Amino acid sequence: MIPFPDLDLPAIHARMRGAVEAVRLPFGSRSWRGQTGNWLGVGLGASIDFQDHRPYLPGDDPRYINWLAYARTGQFTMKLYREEVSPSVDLVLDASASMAISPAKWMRAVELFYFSVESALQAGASLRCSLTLGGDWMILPLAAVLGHRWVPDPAAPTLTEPPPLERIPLRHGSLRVWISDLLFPGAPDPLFRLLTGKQGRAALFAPFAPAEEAPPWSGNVELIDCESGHRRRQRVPPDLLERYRLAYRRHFDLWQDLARKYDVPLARISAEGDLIRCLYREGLPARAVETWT
Amino acid sequence: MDLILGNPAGLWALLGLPAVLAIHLLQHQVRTRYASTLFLLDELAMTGIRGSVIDRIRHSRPLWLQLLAVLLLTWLLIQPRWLREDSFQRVVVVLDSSLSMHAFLDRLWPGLGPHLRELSRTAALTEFILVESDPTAATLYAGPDLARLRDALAAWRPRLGHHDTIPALRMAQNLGGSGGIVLFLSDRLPEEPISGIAAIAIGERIENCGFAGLRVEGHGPEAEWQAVVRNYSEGAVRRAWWVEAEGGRNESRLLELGPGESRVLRGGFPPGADFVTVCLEPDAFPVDDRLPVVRPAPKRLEIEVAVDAAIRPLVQRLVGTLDAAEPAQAGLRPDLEFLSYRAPALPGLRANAVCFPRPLDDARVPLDGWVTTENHRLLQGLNWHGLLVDHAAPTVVQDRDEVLVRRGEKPLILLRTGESGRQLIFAFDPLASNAPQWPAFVLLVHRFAEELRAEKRAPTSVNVDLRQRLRAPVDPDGPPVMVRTIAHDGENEEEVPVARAALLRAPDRPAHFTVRQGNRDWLRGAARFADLREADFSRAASGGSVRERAREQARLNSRPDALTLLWMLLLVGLLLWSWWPAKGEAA
Repeated sequence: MIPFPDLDLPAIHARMRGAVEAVRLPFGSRSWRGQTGNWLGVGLGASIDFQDHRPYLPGDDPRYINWLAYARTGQFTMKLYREEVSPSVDLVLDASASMAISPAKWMRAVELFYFSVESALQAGASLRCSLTLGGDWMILPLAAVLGHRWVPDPAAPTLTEPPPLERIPLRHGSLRVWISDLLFPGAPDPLFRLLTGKQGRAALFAPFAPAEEAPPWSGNVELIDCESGHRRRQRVPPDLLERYRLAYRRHFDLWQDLARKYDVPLARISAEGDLIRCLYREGLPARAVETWT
Repeated sequence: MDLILGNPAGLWALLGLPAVLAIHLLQHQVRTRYASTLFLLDELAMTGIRGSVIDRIRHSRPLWLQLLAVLLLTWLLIQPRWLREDSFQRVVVVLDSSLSMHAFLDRLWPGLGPHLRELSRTAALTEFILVESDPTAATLYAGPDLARLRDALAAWRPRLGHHDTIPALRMAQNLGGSGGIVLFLSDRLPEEPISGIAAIAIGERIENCGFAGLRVEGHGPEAEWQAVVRNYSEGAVRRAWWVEAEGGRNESRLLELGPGESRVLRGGFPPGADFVTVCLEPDAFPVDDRLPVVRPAPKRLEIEVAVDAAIRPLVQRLVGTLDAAEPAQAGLRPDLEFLSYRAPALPGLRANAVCFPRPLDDARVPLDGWVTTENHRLLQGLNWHGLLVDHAAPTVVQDRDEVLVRRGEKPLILLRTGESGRQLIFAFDPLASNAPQWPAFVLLVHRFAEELRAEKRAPTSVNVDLRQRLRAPVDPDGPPVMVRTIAHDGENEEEVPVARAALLRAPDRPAHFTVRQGNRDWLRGAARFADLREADFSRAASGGSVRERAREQARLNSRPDALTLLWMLLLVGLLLWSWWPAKGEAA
């Protein structure tokens, strides 16, 4: 098994605390349900954002009667404002061994994790962090996350299988932020249904190492599956490498297609380069992040 | 123009080709990689999932440049030379005529051919001369055709025993000239290198057991042969042996000999059979496996004794020691006569005689000085210095007399030759000296008698060595002589002019033979192999090479490649180019 590289989590956390000044999770792209907060809810609320007028109905809160309109028309008219709520964020980090196939990729995953944490915290969201490891999952206490004591030990070799999202209790109407490289076999459909179920909304960040798309395999190589430990001796001629690249692209094309189908922003974030630039380059077009403006 | 490799060892540089290929293969040998996308590979329905240990060769500029550089380096290292079209050389092959070569006749061409082919490539035209170390033998082949040389080689048979090959080799060097090459083909390597001669040995130590000697006791019906069989090998041998006579053979018996052991086989002649052949089970050296024997029949020497009574006992003892001697028939001229004479008068020369003086009285001459001898065939190896004689008979030495022994100025023994014969004249009284006890005296009389016997024209049967000179008592005025040879592989008859009868030799292979003139067999004989040195193969070996000589000859007959400097520069350029990083690599 590949051990998780030692990272300076406080430093990463600090950098991500600054990063969320530039971009944030896509809280503004829809209405939320939740406790009173800073974000528009799906119901009526006490925010300053005007939504609509309607006739007064018995039982309405008299504080929202538009007295100016009553003066003009003599009719009780209700002035409706948007509800401001605090969204719920279910953050799930895929900590399978493939995420640590290279130190850069693992760092990028951790950066995205802390970016999401900070973005959620700054938005006042109700944050719940989970971590999947092989076929297991665990909830990461926020204190552990903020105390940087959450990096798990490498799991024993496991079969390469999808993360067990179905076992994670995603909250109703929450924003499900999933950080995963999506490198596992199987149809993505069930996962999208899980992510978008319970009137939730999802955003996917898929960190990747460039070497995964264009691996430096040439001639005879012995490939070790980083998760299962399975070894495979393979002669890699140029044509096979080309077919591999095609299969790699098809794999993510399928994910992209389904993401569009389920209206889930999916941003593939390269492990190389500055995260902010990557988020601008990949996250914004995919609507996985948004700017403050 | 033919290409010559000045340094064939340079071809080893071609090993650089696989070396370069191996390097280019091995640099892509199996490397271990962690992969997160192995499931994608599994989904690819590809063939050859398991790769080989060695990577597939990949085209690259360094690969091809380095391969080309290796070829170029090989070209430079082999030192190519171009054969001059006008080059000529002469190769003289001297075959060892020793009979031991019989054991390796089937190796002659396989052992010699490759060397000749190698030499033929070192000049535009090569003339081959095939001779043997027998200086009396004719040239076997001369010309440029190796096929005909091979035929001549196949028909050749060695004929001599142990002999000095140096004269033949020097003659071959003269034949070859200053630029010629002389090869000496034998079954053993010379103990010391012979200057200017390339020795090639084709022999090997073989197990040989054969006849090493023959002795026949007695004459006529009582004759008995004794054959010595020797095992020359280092291990024990078991061989069957038998006797062939008159077209038949007796039952074979088994003979067991330890390493180096000799054993004597004995037997008689079947009644009525004068020729027998003692045979051993054949081995690799067949020459000594058959021993032809003839019942000996020496020429009888008819002797008449007419000496004084005083010396008669001494003469009778002398005559008794002569082989096959018998009293002369009355009225017929004897072959040898013993006479007494009164000095100084000598008896008339009417027959071959040995003459002794009657006791000397007043006529005796005192002797003084040393005993001296002439260099004469009858005296070879005889010592006369201890002869004690004080007085000699006064003799008159004639012009044709040969004084064999003298003391001071006085002759003691003379040989007188006349029309009717020869006389061995003693000028001193043997009884007044120590001559009867002096070996040289007896031997001289024997030699004289045997010389007369040899000159006597009478049929005889003898056992001789191979190629031994024959003394056939043929009539010099008679018809040509017919020599008939009867060997185990067939009979042969050859007509020899009578003028050359004195040069007759016994057959060069074991055989019975007869020398006939007219309707009479003057000589019947059996020729046997008797050279122990040739039968001993303990020194036989293989080896020798003409490679150095061929290389030297090729250098003489060729000119170097004029573009060598260009190739060297090109080689350097190729190497630099192959090491120069490609555009991507440089970046």
